[in-house]
Amino acid sequence: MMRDYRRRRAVTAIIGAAIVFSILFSSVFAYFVVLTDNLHDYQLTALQKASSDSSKDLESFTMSTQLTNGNIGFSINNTGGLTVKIVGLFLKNLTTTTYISSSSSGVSPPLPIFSNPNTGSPLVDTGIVPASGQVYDMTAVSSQGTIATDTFPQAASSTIDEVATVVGWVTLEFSSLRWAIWTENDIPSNVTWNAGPDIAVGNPIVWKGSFTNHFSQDIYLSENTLISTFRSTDDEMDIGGDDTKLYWFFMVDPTDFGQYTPNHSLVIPAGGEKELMFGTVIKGGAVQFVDTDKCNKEEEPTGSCVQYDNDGKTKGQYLVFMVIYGRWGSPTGDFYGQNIPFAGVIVS
Amino acid sequence: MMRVNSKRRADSKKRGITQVIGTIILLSITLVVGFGLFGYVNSAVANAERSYAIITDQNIKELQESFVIVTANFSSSSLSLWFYNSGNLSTSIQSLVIWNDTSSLFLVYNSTKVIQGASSYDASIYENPILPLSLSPGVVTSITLTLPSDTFNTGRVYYVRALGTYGNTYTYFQVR
Repeated sequence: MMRDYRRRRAVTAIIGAAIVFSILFSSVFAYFVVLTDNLHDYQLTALQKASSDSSKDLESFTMSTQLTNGNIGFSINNTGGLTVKIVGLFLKNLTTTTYISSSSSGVSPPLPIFSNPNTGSPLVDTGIVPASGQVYDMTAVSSQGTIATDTFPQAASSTIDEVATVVGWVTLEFSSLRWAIWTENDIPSNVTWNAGPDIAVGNPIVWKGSFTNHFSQDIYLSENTLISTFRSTDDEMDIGGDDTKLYWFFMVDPTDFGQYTPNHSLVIPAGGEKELMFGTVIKGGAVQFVDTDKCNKEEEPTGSCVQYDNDGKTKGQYLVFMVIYGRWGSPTGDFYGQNIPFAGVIVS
Repeated sequence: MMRVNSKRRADSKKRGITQVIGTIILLSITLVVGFGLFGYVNSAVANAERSYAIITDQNIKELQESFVIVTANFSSSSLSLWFYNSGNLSTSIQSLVIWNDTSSLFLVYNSTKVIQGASSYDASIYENPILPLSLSPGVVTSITLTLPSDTFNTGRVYYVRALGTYGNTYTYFQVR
């Protein structure tokens, strides 16, 4: 009897223990499952975030603007380790901000554009004609939120050894700048063009260089477009003194260095390049430069107007720069002017 | 003798019934208390799990939230901002703080009002659209803020700090 009674009590205890066990097991197990599940999700997201941050750190690119088909254009140079996907572009001038996206029309090629590591993207034509004389701030944003900016037209070149430029629509490719000794009997096709800064004394000089028009209209060059040289030393190469002088070289006919080009006869096309040549139209002899103290371009380049070099006075150090004058679109269009400081030469 | 035996059997039967009833009562109490305890613990654990899941979800969304201010455009009295959501989660900008390099200007824009110093103004007049500003993944979205008073001066540096729904901030500055 007592045994039965104890057995029944044991059944209750076992049921009670089972219930307590099931409570603890199910609750703790459920909590553990939820905890593990959430922790897994969090760890997964943290890993994705770390991966995304790492990708963003590896993403690096620069933007370069230029005139393209008469419109504002740009290209992307990928300097990072991952392919860059450009998803948006902003053009901002003084008054308006234009947002260009994949749904914008007139953009060629359309966004998004891709740039692989260490390579450039295709040149993108935004289809937007730049307003005359206005500077645009351009911003490109990648799919990962990385931003690159540039101005249009570019304010200054990042590769100063290769391109000499200032804020303006016309730039000179410095590596194209050449000088040649020219005598009366030489024809332009026979002269030898030199690239170095050391110029031999006692010979007339002609210059040539390649110029690019970054504006959307042709520029008709004025006859007053010139290269100017400033002699800053005396014969002993000392700075200053009575021998410092300013000289002018005007645009000459590339087929006949003895002729200046007529006013507005030379055109640098919109978005295009033009090789220009500069000289003094003084043929032969020892004449180096026209001395503006004594004459101007329109006078007959003889007599007191001409600076002779018989005593070697043209030796020295020279600062070289140019002034560009012209009119936009036609010989009667809006006036334009800029200067380009670009070189130093030694005549010895 | 026979009477004594039958009485014992009857007592024994009565005792057996009492024991069964006692066992049933004990079992009932155990079950009721057990299931009550189970329900309580289960509910408590469920609450803990829910709280934990909410916190984890918040942390996950904070990690997933990513946006930048790509550019800004000033006029003398207004500022337009362009946001890009570079994450994979839809979010929104809850508030914007604007100040300048000398801290002579300090403004807070939120969903109801614009606060400048001790003054506050109706957000619907000075925010277009009104905050919060929804940002979809991979999409550029803009907002224009107007100054209730004062002006944005040229040549001065202005800072903008944006606060996202999940606690991330982004600071942008530009010279007007």
